[in-house]
Amino acid sequence: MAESLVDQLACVGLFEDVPKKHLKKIASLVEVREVPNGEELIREGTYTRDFFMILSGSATVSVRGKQRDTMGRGEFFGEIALLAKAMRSATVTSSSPMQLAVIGAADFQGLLESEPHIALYMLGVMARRWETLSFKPAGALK
Amino acid sequence: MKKDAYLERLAEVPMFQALSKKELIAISRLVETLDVEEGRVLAKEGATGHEFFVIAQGTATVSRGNRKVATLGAGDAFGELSLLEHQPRNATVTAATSMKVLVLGQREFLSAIETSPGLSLKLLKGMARRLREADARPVQ
Repeated sequence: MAESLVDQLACVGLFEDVPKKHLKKIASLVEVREVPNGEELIREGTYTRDFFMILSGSATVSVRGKQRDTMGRGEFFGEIALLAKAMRSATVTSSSPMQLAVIGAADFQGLLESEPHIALYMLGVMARRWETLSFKPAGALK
Repeated sequence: MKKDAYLERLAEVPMFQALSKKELIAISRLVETLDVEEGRVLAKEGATGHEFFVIAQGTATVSRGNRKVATLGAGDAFGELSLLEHQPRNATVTAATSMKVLVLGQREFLSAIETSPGLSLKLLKGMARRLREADARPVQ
């Protein structure tokens, strides 16, 4: 039998402290999208309003044509533009066939308001990114 | 140092960017001010910490594996991750001069979030704005 969406969502880091009962509700907000390799999921500079969680497969993140990062199962992307109410800051492209769980902007905001665990987990991931960026001042490692 | 100056320092923290003055004041009540003498280690690489620090006065050096990687001064903050998760410090921070630092403990921080549900969303918004600005910097 295929893995249920609730089980798949339980593997997303963001939901690690969320009770299964709540995951059922979250699953009802989610649209599952299957994409082939090489599909552009988010384009830098555009104004789109989805939040993505990777159920399977991998993607690359690039800024101004330069690859910045790769992401895989259990990771999420698309939150920055939604939270900052801004244009997309990076381009994300699938680097294998992928299965994605997609949530719209309004449900995303509602989720963060109603599930403090999710907001805290996300804050941790973002703070880690911030530390990586800010602890690498030009030339400091030379 | 005056209370207002503390608030200004707190307002510069990436995570606190989207907070209102009232919310900043609430956070400032949870903060302790610490006088630190030169040479004192504020955070040790590999050790678990539960505090977030904002430098009000003085400077500190950041090192990883005995190699100096950065210098921090007034307005700089470190240890945000320690508020959010139980992870070892990823760098050692040592006072390079005598310092005044603001310290926010994990327990106080988490209790503030629990009693004020809108706070975590605002913290996320502040963080997102800062990350966007960082992403927008010229690629080196």
